[in-house]
Amino acid sequence: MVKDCLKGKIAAQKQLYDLFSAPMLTICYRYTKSMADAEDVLQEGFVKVFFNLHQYKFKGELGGWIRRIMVTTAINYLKRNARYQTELVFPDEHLHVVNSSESHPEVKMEAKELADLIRQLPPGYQTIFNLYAVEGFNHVEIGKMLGIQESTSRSQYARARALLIQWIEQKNNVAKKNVYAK
Amino acid sequence: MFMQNEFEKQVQQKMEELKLVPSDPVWQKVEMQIQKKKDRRRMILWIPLFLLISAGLWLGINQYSNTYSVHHLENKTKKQSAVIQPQSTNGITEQNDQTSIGKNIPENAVVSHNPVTKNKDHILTSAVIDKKSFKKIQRKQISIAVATKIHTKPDVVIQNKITSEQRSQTKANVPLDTGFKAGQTFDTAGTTIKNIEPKKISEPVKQDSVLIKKMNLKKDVSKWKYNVIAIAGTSGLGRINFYNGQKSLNYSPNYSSSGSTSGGNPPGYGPSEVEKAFYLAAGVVAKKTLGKRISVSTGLQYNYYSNIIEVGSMINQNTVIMDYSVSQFYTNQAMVLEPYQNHYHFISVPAVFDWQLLKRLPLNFNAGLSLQYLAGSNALRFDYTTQSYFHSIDAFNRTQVFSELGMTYSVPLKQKPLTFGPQLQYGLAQLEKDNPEHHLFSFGLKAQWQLSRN
Repeated sequence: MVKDCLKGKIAAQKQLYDLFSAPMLTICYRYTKSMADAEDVLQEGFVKVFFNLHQYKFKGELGGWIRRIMVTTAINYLKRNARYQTELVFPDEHLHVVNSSESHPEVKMEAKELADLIRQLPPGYQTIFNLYAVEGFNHVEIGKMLGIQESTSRSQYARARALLIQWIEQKNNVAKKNVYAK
Repeated sequence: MFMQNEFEKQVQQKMEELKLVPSDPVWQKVEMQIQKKKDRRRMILWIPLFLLISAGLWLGINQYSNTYSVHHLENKTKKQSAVIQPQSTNGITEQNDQTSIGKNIPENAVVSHNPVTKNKDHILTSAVIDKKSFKKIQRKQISIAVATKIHTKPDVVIQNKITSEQRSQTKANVPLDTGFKAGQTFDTAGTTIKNIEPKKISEPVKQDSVLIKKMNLKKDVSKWKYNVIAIAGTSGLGRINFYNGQKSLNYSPNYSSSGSTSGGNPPGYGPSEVEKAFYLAAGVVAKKTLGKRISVSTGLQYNYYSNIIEVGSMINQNTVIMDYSVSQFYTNQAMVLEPYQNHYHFISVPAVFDWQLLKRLPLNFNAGLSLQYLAGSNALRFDYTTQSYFHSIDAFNRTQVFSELGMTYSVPLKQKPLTFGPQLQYGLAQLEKDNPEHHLFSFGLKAQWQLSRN
């Protein structure tokens, strides 16, 4: 399929798109604030994929390679768009670091519901949370990616995490109340 | 460090369960953009290619017309002199202001020339620039046919110094590493991302690419990449006068007085005009990246040059011509001349520097030198004394140094770069011993294909 894509065969490109568009859209969705933006990132990302496919060396899984392009495309998209840019300011002051071993609620909600909660975080928090908690980058890497200090990334993540936990707890409480009410 | 907390694990797990399907217009937009970019790339590909071909054709035609004009003019002049047999005054010599390049005629040698030849520089220029005036001059030559004697000082020698402009260049053909880490898997349906382990992504795509390129570049620096190479075109014989951009005349400096008649004998028969003929080269070269846009290549190559001359009847006779013992020769005094193709088979070791002119465009300028050895030849060389063509491999300088200049453009073919473009070769050493006028040159289209993937 990749070889056919490299030959420029549209059918193969469509096949590759069909295979990876759904999982990649979830990534784009997590980084953006609307489905339209997510689809814009997806579109931009796939264009990059097809035009850089010759650089894929069959060393790792294609999915991982595409995923990485999507993440970087999403970050670039956020940086580029004014509505995200204003909120993507990462002040370098050392913020209070929340202990990651603090207790946390059990995440009982649906995936979509949790994704929407993450998307409600301020863009800066949202990006760092996604990069650290979901993609699995460490703070040094995130710092390099976003052009911020490692400590800033750490602090922002701690705040994002705390905020999200708070929201999840609220959701959990509401759910409990609803159960009792029934 | 990573996933030290259960919370992150839960979030990640939930996110893996998330399933979203993009709307149909997304693919349509992707397809449209791909098409647009393809068209743009095609344009980018064709513009330099068109420029290369145009430049190549212009160079080739220009050079051919130069060679043809000069040789044709000279030959015509000589043929006329020979046919008309103009009366020359015995023992009388005229001092001529003209400096025949490479000409070395003894004082007692008498050569017939018409007035047109006397004003040779003017004619050469006009012949090159204006073919109409050239024809007019020729007509005049035939009608007037006045012989004059030219005497040039034997010690007048003009040497061309060739400035070497070897510059290194490269096509920084740096592949982008995928950077994918093991452990990242997609299920076969491609809907869910599983087992996402920490990956090392240090930069967004562009910055990341640069870093990876740098890493790969370091890796590539010590790596030779093998290429097959093929060149086809035309080759000729002559000398490019670097001072005025024209080819010099075909006179032999080895004009011996012993054979010429100093007392009013018929004028000598000149050598034939040299027509260009087929040139071919094939070989294997190893290419090494030296820098981002600079690379060097070397290898082993077979070069075949040829040109066509006209010779008279063949005479089988053991004799000595120009200190070379030969068993047969072609007298050029015959009225009927037959075409004869000179073949030169060279084995060469080129050393060429490639320099990528633009960062994003794989357009390369290449320059270098090649050491070539004449492995075999049937080529004839002219002897003014006996006015004959003869063959002796010893009469040639078998070790030659050629300068190479060219432009190449790269396109990926099955992930292996195919480069092609025009190439010009010029022999820095004289082909024939004691004759600085004959240098081999070639002009052709080069194609080079990398055997391994980038």
